[in-house]
Amino acid sequence: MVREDQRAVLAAIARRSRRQREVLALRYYVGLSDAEIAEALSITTGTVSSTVSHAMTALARDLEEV
Amino acid sequence: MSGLEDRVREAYLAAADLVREDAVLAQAPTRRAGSMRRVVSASGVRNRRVRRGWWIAPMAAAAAVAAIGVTVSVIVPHALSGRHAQSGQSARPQAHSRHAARVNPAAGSGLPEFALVSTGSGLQVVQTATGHVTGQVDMPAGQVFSQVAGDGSDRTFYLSAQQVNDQAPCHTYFYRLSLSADGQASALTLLPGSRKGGLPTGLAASADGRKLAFSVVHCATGAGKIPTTQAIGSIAVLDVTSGKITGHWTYTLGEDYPISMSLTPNGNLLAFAEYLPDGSAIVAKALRTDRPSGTVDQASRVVGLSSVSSLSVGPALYGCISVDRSGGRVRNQLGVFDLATGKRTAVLHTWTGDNGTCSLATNVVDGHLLASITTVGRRLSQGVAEFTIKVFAVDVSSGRLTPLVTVNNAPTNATIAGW
Repeated sequence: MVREDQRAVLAAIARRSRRQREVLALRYYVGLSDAEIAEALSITTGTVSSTVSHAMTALARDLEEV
Repeated sequence: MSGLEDRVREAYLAAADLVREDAVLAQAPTRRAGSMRRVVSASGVRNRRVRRGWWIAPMAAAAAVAAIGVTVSVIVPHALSGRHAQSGQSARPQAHSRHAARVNPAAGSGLPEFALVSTGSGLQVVQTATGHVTGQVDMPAGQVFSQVAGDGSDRTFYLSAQQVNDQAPCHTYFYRLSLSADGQASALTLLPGSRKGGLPTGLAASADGRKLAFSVVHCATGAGKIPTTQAIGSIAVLDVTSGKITGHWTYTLGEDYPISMSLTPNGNLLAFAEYLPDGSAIVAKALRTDRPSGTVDQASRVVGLSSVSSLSVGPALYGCISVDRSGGRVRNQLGVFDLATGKRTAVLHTWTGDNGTCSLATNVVDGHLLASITTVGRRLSQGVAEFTIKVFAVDVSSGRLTPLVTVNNAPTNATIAGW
């Protein structure tokens, strides 16, 4: 069963942009490296890093971890 | 931030553990070609096999996460299809008896006489006035139903199904069935010219019975670098009589695929829900089916901006709206939108006690919507969860809700209902 805190994380992820959700899922669910994500999405590793950074910052804000 | 990263991983894994393996497999292509490699996550939480170069099977991702309201987009199914190939299992429709629907014998009059409700392993025909199950529709061999759309007559229904075996893992088939006066279902009739390459994501029928609109997202293998401008799927309109495609509009990797579709009675306007290109919201869009073939982006316009996850066109545009609440819970509302302006004009109903995923059948029949709320039910062994699906009739004039059917212990692919 998904715990309440996990539901909150999933709900916060759902509020991210499509690209951010893709990158988050590939990194934290599938377990790809930034280089692999970049290859899969046809973007640079820098873009992957910045996308993850923005997404995690937003998640932290939503989950009140900052 | 590492603590947050662990929380994100755990949340994904918890979500993934809710998924019935067979439900995922039923939604995913099962080709076994292609190289496999092991990917070890940075955290060491779980190893997964990923098939390089596969970017398809978005419905698998949808199945994996739909029940908890999270959409992992196009790329994730790499891993899911890889898991399937690794397991060596094949998806098979299940026996009927396990997911029998419990119906409400007190359903009122004035409703369409019959509703088709999926139990995950087939469809049951339910007489709304009595609650009796009057008929049963088996899935075609080696296929699973994906969507059902009535033509408004409450007697004729169209079904999309996808192959789940290795012979044709990425094809969509369209069927028609009729109900007799006593609710017996006819045999399925494969529509002429209906086999389409791709996986079905949406289906709608016009009330005049002449047009069928559908969306399929293509399957592909090969190089992983796919430009966001590349077409990955399309919406099409099929002339049911001739079997000919009368309109065809493509969407790209940079867009998302339609997740709910509905046609106006004459079939001239198609409403559908999809993510905005930046993924910031699910919106309702409308596309005139008499427009020249081309791209969805050019042919459609946004008509609702309130996270409409499922919609139906009737006297107005009706849509399920998910409203976030504290703790990640979702409150579902049934909104009414003006098709011309896209403005929300009313809220027909708010489900106060039922968190979960809201879906609408494609057509308004006899002034009623068919709505369902899917919630996580009990958890079985090996991380498999089952779901509870409550099906309601909603009067579009008054918002009055009539419980019709409850399907307990259903797999995730059971959220199909229509009239």
